[in-house]
Amino acid sequence: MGEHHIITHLPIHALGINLSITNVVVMLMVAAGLTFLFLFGAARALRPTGEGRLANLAEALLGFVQENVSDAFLGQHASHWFPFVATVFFFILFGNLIGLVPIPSYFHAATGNLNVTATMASVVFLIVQGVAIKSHGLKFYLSVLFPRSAPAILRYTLMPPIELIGIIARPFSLAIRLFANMMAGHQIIIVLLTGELIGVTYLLHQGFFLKILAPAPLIGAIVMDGFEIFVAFIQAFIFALLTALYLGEALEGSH
Amino acid sequence: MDTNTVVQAAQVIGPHAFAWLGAGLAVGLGTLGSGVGIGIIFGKSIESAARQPEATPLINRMMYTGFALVEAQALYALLITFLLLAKK
Repeated sequence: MGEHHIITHLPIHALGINLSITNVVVMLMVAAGLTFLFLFGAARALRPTGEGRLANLAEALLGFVQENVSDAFLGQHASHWFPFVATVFFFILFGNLIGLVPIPSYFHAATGNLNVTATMASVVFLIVQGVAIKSHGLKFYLSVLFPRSAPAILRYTLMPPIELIGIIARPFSLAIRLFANMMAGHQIIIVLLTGELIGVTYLLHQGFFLKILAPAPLIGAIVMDGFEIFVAFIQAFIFALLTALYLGEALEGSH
Repeated sequence: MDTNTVVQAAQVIGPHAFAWLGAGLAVGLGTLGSGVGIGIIFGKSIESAARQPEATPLINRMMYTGFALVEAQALYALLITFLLLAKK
């Protein structure tokens, strides 16, 4: 997996932590900047009349997020939590999409990095637990770990470990789902275009087959690039959907 | 084939032979369940959209949600493959 070289632009070492500005950090800043510019521009374009191309695009995307993600899972709290869910959606969307820009060996998906996705998943996890404690108190965990909808035999023996693992597994699955989707797609494109995976050269690039098959990896890479756009939208949608789902569960109590 | 033969074969192939074998097995077996799951999801959603066409937007939304969640399982296996292949 040696295609991501870390280029350190500005070394900063503070308190024993490496806080350098690397190309990964620059990608994150680009994603955050794009999110801010898009949402800010959308607000300005939608304010007076709501006409124009940016206003239409923003209205389509924001309406999609509100209708399918926020209103579907949050009920009465939808308008309160919609900005958070929409920001999560757009940041992950732009973080995924900038990986498709074909500037070689510099542009890569900001979310194709387990540190980034783990941070986002941790933030969502902490916010969900905080909301649950704030609206129900600590006895919320009693109603989750010992669910009343289970028969009494299981409620104190088998359900607590299962529910606990379910709670702990959620941020892990959020982080790994997003990271693996992004990394797998880009790895496939890299393998098809350069023919090198872990230093082993791919057969089609060694001229093993007839020359007439030579454009096949290139066409495959183009098709995979289109599929990556689809995957970028789907993964942003899924992350935002699961965030809204966990928030809805925390807000109204479970079982 | 006893364990001695397997160990000798691995020593002939080179170090990390079992890592490569495990990498292949991981993603191969991992995509089995995901393939079955995606087939079931899309089959059922096509069937239900045919039974009730006016519910198609709702069915589409749930279909894509289910697809992403099932696809993630296969990618967990792919992650293990990448971890195994990264051993030099």
